[in-house]
Amino acid sequence: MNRAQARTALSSAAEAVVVQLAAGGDDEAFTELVRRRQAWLRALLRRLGRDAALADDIAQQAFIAAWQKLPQLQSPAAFAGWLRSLAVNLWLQHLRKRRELLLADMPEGSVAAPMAVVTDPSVSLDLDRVLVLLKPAERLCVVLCHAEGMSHAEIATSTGWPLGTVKSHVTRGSTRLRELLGEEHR
Amino acid sequence: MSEASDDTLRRAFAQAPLVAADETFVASVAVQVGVHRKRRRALHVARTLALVVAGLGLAAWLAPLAPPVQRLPGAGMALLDVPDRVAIAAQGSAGILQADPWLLLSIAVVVVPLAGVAWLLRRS
Repeated sequence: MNRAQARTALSSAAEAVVVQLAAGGDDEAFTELVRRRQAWLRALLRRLGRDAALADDIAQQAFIAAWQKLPQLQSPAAFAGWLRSLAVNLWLQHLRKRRELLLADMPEGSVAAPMAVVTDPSVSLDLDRVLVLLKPAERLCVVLCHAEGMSHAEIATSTGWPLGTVKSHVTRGSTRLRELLGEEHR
Repeated sequence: MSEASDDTLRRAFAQAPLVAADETFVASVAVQVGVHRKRRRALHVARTLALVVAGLGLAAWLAPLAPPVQRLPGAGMALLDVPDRVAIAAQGSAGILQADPWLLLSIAVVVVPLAGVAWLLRRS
């Protein structure tokens, strides 16, 4: 089987199979995983931050970490959630380095323009515009809860924060997000 | 917080399009993986070399400490009584090793690093 045929076979294979091949050291299989998951992971990280280049950089670090730790992954079917946890942890490490988690409120001047990720739908544009107005921890919890469909307990496990903290971040962040979206539409 | 308002937020997130797939990003990750693989191999080679050098150094350091008579199994045997020599001869090489612990140590000093090298090479 030549390289092109191998790539075609991989692109049609189930993700669990590709994960198993990649865990066994198959570089083509790992590249296929990156190809499949990159858009989703980069979109998630771009929502968490205000800097598209930084989001892509952390996404790249997450994939490298995944390549290094893939043999330790117990269940190939859990790859997506595991990759998301790696990315969230890298994101939190970045925030801790910059002490952004300690900030009580985002300074007015630090609110960046919405990233050029979204093409045109007004709802998406509004969402990205107002997401950056939330505190980093609230933004993380709101995105993981509403965009990724994670439960509060899953978010607590993934971030290492107490369940009560996660619940209050989700509640406060969601309320603020709705208010801000309402203002945008007024 | 009502479930309906939660649904509104979920819909808002669901309507947002994904980031466009980017082959440059895929290629960039592949390059980084290659760099990490090379770095890991270099680390294994460095560890292997360090292990071999440490093993040889230890052997060189220990060699002068061995009593000269006992360093040769045959000479060591000559110091033993006849019944002991017979018993040791009967036990073969295991007996020789018991009679000359320095030989055992020397073998261990060579075998342990070699086993380490083999293990590291298998892992890389």
